[in-house]
Amino acid sequence: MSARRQAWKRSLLLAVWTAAACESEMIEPRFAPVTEIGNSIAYGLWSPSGTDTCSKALHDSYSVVGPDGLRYPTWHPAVDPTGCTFGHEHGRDPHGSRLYAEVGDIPFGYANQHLVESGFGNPRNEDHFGHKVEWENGMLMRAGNTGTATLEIRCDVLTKLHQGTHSPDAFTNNLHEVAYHIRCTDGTAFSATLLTPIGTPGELVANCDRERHVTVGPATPPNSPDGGGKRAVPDQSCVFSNINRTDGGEPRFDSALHESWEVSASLRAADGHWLAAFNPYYQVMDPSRYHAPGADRSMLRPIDLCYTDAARGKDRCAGLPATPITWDDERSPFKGVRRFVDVNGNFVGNADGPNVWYTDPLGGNGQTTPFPGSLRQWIAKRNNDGLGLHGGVMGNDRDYNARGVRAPN
Amino acid sequence: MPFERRSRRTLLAAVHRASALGLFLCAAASSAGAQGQSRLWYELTVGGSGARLTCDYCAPARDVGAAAALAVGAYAGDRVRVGVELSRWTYRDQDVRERIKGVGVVAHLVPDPKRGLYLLGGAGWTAYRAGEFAYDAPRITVGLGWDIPAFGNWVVGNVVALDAASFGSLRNGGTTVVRDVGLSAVRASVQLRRR
Repeated sequence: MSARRQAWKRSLLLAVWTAAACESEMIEPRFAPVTEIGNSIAYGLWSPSGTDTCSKALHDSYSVVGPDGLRYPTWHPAVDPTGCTFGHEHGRDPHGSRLYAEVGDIPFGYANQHLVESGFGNPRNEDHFGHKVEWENGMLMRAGNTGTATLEIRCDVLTKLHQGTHSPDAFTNNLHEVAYHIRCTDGTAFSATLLTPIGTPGELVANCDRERHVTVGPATPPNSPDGGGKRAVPDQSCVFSNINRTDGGEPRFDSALHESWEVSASLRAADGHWLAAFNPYYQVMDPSRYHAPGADRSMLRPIDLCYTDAARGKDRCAGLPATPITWDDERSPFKGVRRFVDVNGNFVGNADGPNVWYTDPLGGNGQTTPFPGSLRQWIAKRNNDGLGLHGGVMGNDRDYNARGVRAPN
Repeated sequence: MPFERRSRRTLLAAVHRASALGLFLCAAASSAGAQGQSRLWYELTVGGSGARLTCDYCAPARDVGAAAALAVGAYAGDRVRVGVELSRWTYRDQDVRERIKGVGVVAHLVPDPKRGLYLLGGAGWTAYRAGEFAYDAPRITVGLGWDIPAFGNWVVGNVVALDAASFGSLRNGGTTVVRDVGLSAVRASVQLRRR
């Protein structure tokens, strides 16, 4: 009897151990809880101003301790459950993502925080407003050049990009923090956080003519590397051609202001071979500024166009008060709340593993053990060569306008 | 592309093997016919076919696409005819053209020569192509048909056949994308045969 009990105990223990092993494999991407050691640079940046009604303390309560033990700001609603407003939004509530249980709250500024420590030489810190979350569960992906005709692969995608469209930052600065988590039914999966160079530092690409590179000025940091992709940003000539139309047509603000940040990001091992790569396009239809050479800070405000003869009361300017409103007025239709993400390609080249890699904040120098300034990345042990896995669009059927939201957002 | 050449060579080799086997069977049947009444037959079938691609994350279902097959062979007695069959299937979805090509040997077994019913069996090779994806695998065929004398030496009728392929991989160029892929197709056709 005792022996039988022992056998049962052993079986039960084995079952629990097996389940635990499976569970640990499943949740391995999640950062292990760490002791809090202080605040990050990104924490506490925001304070209420203008029409904002929430307190700084309440805002700072929306935070998470990152894998480095530092406290970071994270997603919060535009309107707090108490009813006060923060005046800005961070996109879609990540709690609805199936990946949230695995990756948790996204620390805003985690890659920025470790850039100097990694030996890069210069800091790159981004403001609080620009962190924008987007996600979709069960996205039907396309494979190769057959769409969904041959393979039926679904992915959960949760991403965050720092995409500020209220200031001239992106005119010159190409380093932006991206967090990208994807889990697919074919086994493609990775979680990446890095500062990714988008296009060439010091210049932008005109949104209405992707061949036209506009040199704006020195980038911050000055040693920002070239990146793949581009930042297609509205510039004055594109905007004017869509507002003051030569054919006498109505102004087209969406065409004039459409902004597309086309990311080409990768995680690479120390020997240079890539482990994971992705190239989502983050798009904004209603930025609150556009590039204007010679203007103060090289930018103008679209809202001011609504009070010109060409656009008064038309298109996005319809319904505005007759007396001009300012760029940061809640009633402005240009506050960066209409966004979507083209998921595009997702590539994994990590069949030989391991799952956990440590890279520098730019995604390079990947090693299997942590080093100063390194970020923890998670990549499935898989190669998805030949699959050509690329996705559709997230967020084009919603905007993130809410009570109190205004530029800067 | 080296892969395309390799793929074509594989298919060509399969065609050669099937043809050789078919010729052997025809020759055997004709030889038997020299002592009896066997002779050559040829047949065209056209109809529709629904195909299923099955793997861990294949898109399985397709609507019915056009299917056609051409077969030629010889009689191996009153109750058996054997031959070589080439088959094609195509379907267009989401601007993607999918194609299945098949080559193999077939045998028709007629349980009762006084009736039109016959059983169909065969083995061969299947090639699936869609965009840059390719799949090649051995297949078996089972089915049944019904002959109705039409005019002279011609018969018309219906045939329903199931082609089932397995043990293949879906590839993109030289890269295996998915292993253990199966492909099945149910063909419902009308036939015209010269007996």
